[in-house]
Amino acid sequence: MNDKERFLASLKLKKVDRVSAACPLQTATVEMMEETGAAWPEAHRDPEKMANLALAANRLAGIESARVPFDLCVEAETVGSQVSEGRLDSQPSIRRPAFRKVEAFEDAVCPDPLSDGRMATVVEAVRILAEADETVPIIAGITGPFTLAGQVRGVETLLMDFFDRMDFVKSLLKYSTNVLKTYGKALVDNGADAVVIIDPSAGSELLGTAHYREMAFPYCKELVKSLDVPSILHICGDSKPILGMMAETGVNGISLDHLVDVNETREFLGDRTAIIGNINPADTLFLGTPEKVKKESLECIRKGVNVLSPGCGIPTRTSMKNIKAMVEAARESAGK
Amino acid sequence: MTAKDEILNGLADAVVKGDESKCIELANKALENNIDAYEAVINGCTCGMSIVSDKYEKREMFVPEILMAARAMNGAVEVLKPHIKADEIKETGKVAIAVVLGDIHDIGKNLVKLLLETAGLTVFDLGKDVVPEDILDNVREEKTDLVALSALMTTSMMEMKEDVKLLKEEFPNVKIMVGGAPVSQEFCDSIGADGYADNASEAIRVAQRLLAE
Ligand code: B12
Ligand SMILES: [Zn+2]
Repeated sequence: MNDKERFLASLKLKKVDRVSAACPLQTATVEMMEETGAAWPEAHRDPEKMANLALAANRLAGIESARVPFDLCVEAETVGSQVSEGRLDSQPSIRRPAFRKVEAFEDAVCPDPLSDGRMATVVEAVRILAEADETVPIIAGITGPFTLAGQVRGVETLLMDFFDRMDFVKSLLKYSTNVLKTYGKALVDNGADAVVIIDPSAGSELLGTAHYREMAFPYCKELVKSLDVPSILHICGDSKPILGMMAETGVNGISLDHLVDVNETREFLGDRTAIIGNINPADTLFLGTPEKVKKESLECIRKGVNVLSPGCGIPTRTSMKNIKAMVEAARESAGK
Repeated sequence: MTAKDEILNGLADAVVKGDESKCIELANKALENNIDAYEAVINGCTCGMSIVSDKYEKREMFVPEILMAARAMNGAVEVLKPHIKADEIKETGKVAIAVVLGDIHDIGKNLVKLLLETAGLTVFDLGKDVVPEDILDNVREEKTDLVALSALMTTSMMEMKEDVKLLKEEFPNVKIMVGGAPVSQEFCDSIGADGYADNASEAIRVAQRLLAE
């Protein structure tokens, strides 16, 4: 099986020759940037560089996928939020949400992902990747509707809006769902083999299950339904209390934070979704030795992850040696 | 229950419920009934906020409710603060407080700040996501005696370490205290800070001890 076949089969829980080592979360490291000359922050805005740096994870470290973009602000920025550019080793972040003033939302438009802002950059990067190598799966990351609503309104303000102006919250969520559906479709049309939805602001520690059920789940489900390729959902932190709803969105795979136990998740979910994860990104992948990475990787495989991957994005200062150790563990698992 | 207890309990309860208008109403009522403003803050508002923290730990309340509680509390504090009696304010020192770079969690910092102020200290609030230069500038310009740093994420704890290093290099005599959920006494010692507290009322005692040294 090639990397793409194995990854897609894993997501559909079909038989595979071994566990996949694709990575649905951020993969760029400073070492990769130095070797390719495609560095942050430029690579966030240049489709050629973005594609190059995404492919570097495969070419230089062996990760069995190419994943774009590298940050979480693409959609919020395209609809008008101001974003800091970030540095060589740190991601852009939201500086000024587009709809801090409720009235500003009246002028909100759904951007055209083929021509507008950084959405167009990522769509173009996906197109370049699709032409570059057809054996490596292309994974496109988009934010979850709830997280996007937080980024365009301000997370804190949005959370207080629950009590002050619920109608507005619901319109905002509908809007962000539409924006993401349009963007998701463009990514798929241009060659994304899978879409991963990242929804950190909907985490259970933040929202609790009741708010998750009302404010995040239905919109995420609608988004998943609109995607014509296999999908993955990643929510940071302890997602245990909401795992059932996460599966019910209809995603093919759940990307688990390292805080959640794979065995318990499998027991709870059975064969409803694939499990992707969940090496500790900071303590093990970034700060650990290759031996430690290998050991934890084998542990994840033994517990039955379908795709071996870190529990959240790869820290930019992670060494190539450590990433290779993770990939090696997956490759050695063949036939076991 | 005395009228006073009723008002203070009501204030705590209104904070827990995140009811801002009730908080403001009760704060005014406290003043009308000649309840000491300082006491209303400590035994009403912050008491409510610590119930909120407990409920959060038990997963009975979540962030939206925490934010509403913080807003409600601030409403009452705005009313009460001008009435905190001058003789309770013993000018004992100048404190700068900041949430470290990369970290925007400022609810805990705001609580600590509030109690430091009510304890009579002059507090410079440098805000959240603060670059080290701003902290250094403050100490240089205001001759600040004590810097209080807050971090809520394991990632931002590293920034705290950097801040302590820079501060101690340039101002060997400035005292530094640290706090925030992931911070511990061991971490405090390991980065060379002078004091640690795991809650806001303890933070006052630590601040007073450090300033007396
Ligand atoms: C509320 C909250 C938010 C709010 C913050 C609102 C605000 N204005 O502060 C919002 C929604 C914005 C938010 C955002 C995020 N959050 Co948050 N958040 C929390 C939460 C649930 C509660 C924090 C809180 O306010 N507690 C209540 C206050 C009263 O307690 P406290 O801060 O600990 O303060 C007390 C003491 O520590 C002490 N103290 C505090 N400071 C100081 C200072 C001194 C000097 C002293 C002496 C004492 C002291 O006194 C205080 C009063 O008793 C925590 C979970 C948790 N268990 O802490 C996560 C948490 C801190 N967040 C987390 C994360 C990951 C995030 C995000 C990155 C998520 C995302 N991807 O969107 C973002 C971005 C944050 C950023 N860049 O800074 C993680 C951090 C994980 C880690 N790596 O360590 C946590 C632990 C949740 C989790 N388990 O995943 N978050
Ligand atoms: Zn994550």
